[in-house]
Amino acid sequence: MSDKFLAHDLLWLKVDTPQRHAEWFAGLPLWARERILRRHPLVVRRELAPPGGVAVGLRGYSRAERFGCFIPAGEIARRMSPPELHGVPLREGRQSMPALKAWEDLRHRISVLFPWGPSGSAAYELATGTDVVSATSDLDLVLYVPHPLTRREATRLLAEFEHPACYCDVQIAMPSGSAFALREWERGDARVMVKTPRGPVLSNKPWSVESTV
Amino acid sequence: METIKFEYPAKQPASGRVLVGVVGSGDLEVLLEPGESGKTRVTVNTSVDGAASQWRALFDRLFATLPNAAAMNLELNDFGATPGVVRMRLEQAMELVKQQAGK
Repeated sequence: MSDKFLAHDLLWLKVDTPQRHAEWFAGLPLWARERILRRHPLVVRRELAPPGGVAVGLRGYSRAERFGCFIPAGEIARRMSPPELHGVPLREGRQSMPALKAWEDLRHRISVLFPWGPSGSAAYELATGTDVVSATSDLDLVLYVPHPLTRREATRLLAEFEHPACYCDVQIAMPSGSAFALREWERGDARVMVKTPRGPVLSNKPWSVESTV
Repeated sequence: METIKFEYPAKQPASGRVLVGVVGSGDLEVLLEPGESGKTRVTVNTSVDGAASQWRALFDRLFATLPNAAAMNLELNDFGATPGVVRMRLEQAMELVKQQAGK
């Protein structure tokens, strides 16, 4: 599997990756090894990776259980991007979680022209079929916007993603692989924080921030 | 969720009020307001528990480099920001308040 991996993509390793990369596997925290053996996905991080590698994060049960590492691109068996999660039905009873209720409502209501989907806990829950979202979870969303948005367009777009049950954090992902918060751009701040693979930078022209790959 | 408070000596109250950052994973929202003369109050609301000593070290360092800082009330809402994001947001807030004072 090649192509460019984008932050928030979910990746599944090959079944025998732990055997083939035994030393790497042994170096992971116990909870992370367990997650991999249960065939849970890894989440692509926005960080520079060595050639042929992908920066990923593992997610455990608690906030403290997060682990970042690199995996060889050749060990990836399957990939799911946030927009592909539109096709995953919500499990019975999970609508009681405000973030999942908001996801369910928004995905039926919104008809923006850009690809978009969930990231964070909602994405992980949809991809794994396990209860990850809590009653206090926000809904993290990523929207792939290829060209600059005016502040006025941002205001219209942000209004689309408002939901009475849950705070929605909409990140605008750009072709460079960097991203920023729609709300910050919409607010009219002179400069917004652009998260790049080399770290955060402040910019008044987020679409002009150099691709750093 | 944890709330951590610090106090530092300061000069006259800062002029101006700024808000930088947004509520969202990995970000830090910073609200900076004029403080009571002679005193800077810092309140950190963070989603990451057990990091009080790191926050203290960060502010001790910051205010050590700013011996003539104006008195402010700084409120931080942290959503798991990395040290790089924290530094950038604080610098952004300080810079904006300085610009406002200069106007």
